[in-house]
Amino acid sequence: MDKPSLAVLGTGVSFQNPESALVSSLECGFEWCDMQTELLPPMLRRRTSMATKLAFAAAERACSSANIMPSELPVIFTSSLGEIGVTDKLCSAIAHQQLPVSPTQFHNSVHNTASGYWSIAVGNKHPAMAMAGYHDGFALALLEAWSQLHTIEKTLLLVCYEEIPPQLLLPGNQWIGCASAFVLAAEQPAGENVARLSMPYCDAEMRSDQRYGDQSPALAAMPLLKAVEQNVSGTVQISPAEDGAWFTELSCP
Amino acid sequence: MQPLFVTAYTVVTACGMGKKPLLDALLKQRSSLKSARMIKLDFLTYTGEVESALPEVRDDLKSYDARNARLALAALDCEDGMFRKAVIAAAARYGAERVGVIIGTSTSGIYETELAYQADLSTGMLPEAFDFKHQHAWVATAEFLKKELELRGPCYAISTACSSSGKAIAAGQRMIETGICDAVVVGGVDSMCHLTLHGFHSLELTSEQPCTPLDQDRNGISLGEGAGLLLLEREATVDTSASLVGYGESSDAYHMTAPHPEGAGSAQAMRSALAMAGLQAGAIDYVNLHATGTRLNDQSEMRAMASLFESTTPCSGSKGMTGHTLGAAGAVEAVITLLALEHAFAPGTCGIRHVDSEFNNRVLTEPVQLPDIRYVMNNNFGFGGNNVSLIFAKEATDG
Repeated sequence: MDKPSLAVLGTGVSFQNPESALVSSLECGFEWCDMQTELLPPMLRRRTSMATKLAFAAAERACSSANIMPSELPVIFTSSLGEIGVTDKLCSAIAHQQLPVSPTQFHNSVHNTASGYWSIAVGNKHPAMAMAGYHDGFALALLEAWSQLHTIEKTLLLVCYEEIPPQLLLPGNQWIGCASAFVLAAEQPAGENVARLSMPYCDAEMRSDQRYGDQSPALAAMPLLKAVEQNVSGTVQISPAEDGAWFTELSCP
Repeated sequence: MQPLFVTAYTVVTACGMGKKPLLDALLKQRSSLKSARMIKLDFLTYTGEVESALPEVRDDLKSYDARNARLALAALDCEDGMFRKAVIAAAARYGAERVGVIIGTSTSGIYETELAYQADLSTGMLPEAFDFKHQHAWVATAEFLKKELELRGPCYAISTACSSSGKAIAAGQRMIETGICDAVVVGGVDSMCHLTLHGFHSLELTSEQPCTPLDQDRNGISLGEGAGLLLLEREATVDTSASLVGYGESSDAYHMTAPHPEGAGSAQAMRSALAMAGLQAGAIDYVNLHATGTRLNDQSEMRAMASLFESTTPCSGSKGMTGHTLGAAGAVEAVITLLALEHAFAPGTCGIRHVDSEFNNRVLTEPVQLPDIRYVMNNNFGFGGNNVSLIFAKEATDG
């Protein structure tokens, strides 16, 4: 296949509550989806959010499965709500006039908290993108990866993560806290045969029953993770069909 | 890289609605910082608040109604709706599905969430008009602009604190170079909110006076709010006055809030931008610095400048005039460099009295005429050690 594509060099996944019934109902069959991370220093581990821990765990696994040093990879972190737990606490403290706010919580509330800590923890001086969509956030991050890998970068790490948001902000939500990560490259590595992705595309007319997005926008990455893991080529839906659905063509070796 | 044309740009800041009031303020070096008014505080600080009434969000998009959305709407419609007209023309030329939206924001509609929490505390319920997903989720403002402008291309937000909208401009370039889009609305929007005022105060980074970036006695930041939008296109139009010719991005890998002492990461971003543009540092006629006004930020940036530029390169900071507009700063200050190109001058540094004697570069205390201005650089650096530097070039309007 001569068409431009992205090579998948490594993947990782993590869940906030890997043993929960909701996660089991996904039937992912992933191994190693817990929250273990070596790269998050113990002091930071105590102080950082679930979102950042999830992102670290998945990112670390993707790098080790690709056998690439994390310090060598530019990163794209995507999350629709990012550090929403910390933000909720700060807004609540402000409403209750519990001032001054915690300076640590304040800087841990920025959307690029996870990508910032990642670059510091692994000593990564490459560009770090922190972006947000909503239901189509994973697909758009893949598009951003595509644009970077066909202009300025050769290899990069993409992390899509979401913690469970507070009920006050999204009443009745049943989100599953999870993260997935992919090490992607513009070129197939020499002597290796790996899975390849086409450019993500949006079909505005296409509707389907993919329901992952209702449980968390980050789950939109799961069908692709699963297809790569199980070596199944074909069209993979990478966003629920809210405002048109996004797809990519996966070619497995 | 493929240079892209800036076919329209617009801005809303404390200086006023549109490019004209900002240009006037730059030329007369008039600060818009005043003692904080919009939000009641138990400490002293100055802010750059947008005081004019903001336009209302139309009925079918009411769920997006937030101060951020209104600032964005004001930027579309100020000065005769010039920017909106340019976007509509681009969508007609290329097709609405070929025009994307990439917006930088640091706090999105958190102001509405803050108000909602206060209401919840006093009444026991969130206000009926509060819509977290469409007002505060980080993509809200970008999605609002996409719907308001009836565009159908890719749409997302970038949120890397104070480098957000500089990075949005870079991302827009990539979308066009790779053929995903033919035009992209890029920029940034951020509004005043309790969180950033209290947060920067608790980090002891706010000044009790109007901030004085690059001054020997500088002692912190003044926050601002605003919106800046650029229309990047593959092809030039008759109104094109500038092109984006390079960008550079990097991470400090040093500290969440403190800059690298020698400015290693910011120097790397500037070096990458120069390399992408195929320019030597000496070709840059003016640098708009990030220059927040904290002791460490300005020192770090000026050390990075000294490692790259001759001492003759004019540079200045704008936050003494507009306040630090955080996620919008990259776009607001890109607009300032575009105004400098279009009107052949370099702005001074509002509020400065004595340039810090440690700085070896030509810090402009007042605006200067630059008849031959050709290339300008714009720097923005954020929490997490996230850096971006952009280079714009003047396009001859007479062909």
